[in-house]
Amino acid sequence: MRRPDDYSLDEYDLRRIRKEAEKCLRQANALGRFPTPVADIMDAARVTVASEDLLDEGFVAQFRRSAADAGRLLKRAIKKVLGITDVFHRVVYLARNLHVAKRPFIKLHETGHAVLPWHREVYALTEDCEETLRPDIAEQFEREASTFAADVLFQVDAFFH
Amino acid sequence: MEDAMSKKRSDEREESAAGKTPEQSLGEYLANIRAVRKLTLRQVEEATDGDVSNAYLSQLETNKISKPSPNVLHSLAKVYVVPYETLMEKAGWFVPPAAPAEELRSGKPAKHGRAATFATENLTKEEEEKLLEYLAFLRSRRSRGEKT
Repeated sequence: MRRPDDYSLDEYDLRRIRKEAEKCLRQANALGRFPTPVADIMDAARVTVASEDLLDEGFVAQFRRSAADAGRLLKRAIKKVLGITDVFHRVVYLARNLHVAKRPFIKLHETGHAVLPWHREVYALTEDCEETLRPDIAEQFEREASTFAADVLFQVDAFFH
Repeated sequence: MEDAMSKKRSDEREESAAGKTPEQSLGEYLANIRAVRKLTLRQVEEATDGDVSNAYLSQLETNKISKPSPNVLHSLAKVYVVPYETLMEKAGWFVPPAAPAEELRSGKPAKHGRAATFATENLTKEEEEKLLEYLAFLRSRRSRGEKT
């Protein structure tokens, strides 16, 4: 039963996300292949993982020289994120110190932001312009991306009925 | 038989008339565009492969939904051929640029929605901005083909 004013993920949202997850799995011929081949899925979705380490000291230093960042704002920001996606160019940047067990999930979470069309089109706007999502819907997008990642990783059956 | 081009032009005129009033609520805008596209609620449900139920759409059009689901808005944008951004704006999902940064009760920053990230802790507005600048910097390095 859909509850119109409840912004946690309802059955329709979940169903939509599962559809996208299943589409992703199909595109990569990954259905039924375990462990779920994350690399194949990302290839089929045309999302790349950057080889650059988000936390690379060299890049950070270079950036801080070219931009004004006396307040170490960037370092604080980087410490808080495990991954960030350049949605428009479909590139995922990961913190290299990310535990190997967490990497598949984080990669798929970030891929979700690039693959779910209602995310992709929003982040393509917000990355470059001054548009910002309201905090509650930003949180919902996080839950959706994580749900997408779980649905892909565990290959949950897309068909409810 | 009206030729396709003149029908398209008259549709576009009607559409821009429908969207012309900036004060038009999301519901009004959706109802108008559905009328312009000459679709029934059920036809929209079919066209979106069930992603938008006719019942939910009817509630959206009468402004009964205070938090319209973005994935539904996206499906509607595709079917009606209108900008998804416009629907998201009318739904109130964007924060005005001048709005003060929100804080949670704990005093920590509320989730900011400009960057697609996986964050262990919410970024402040300034941190997020800096991170996006850094992303642009990394992107320009990649396009210049610089090696590590």
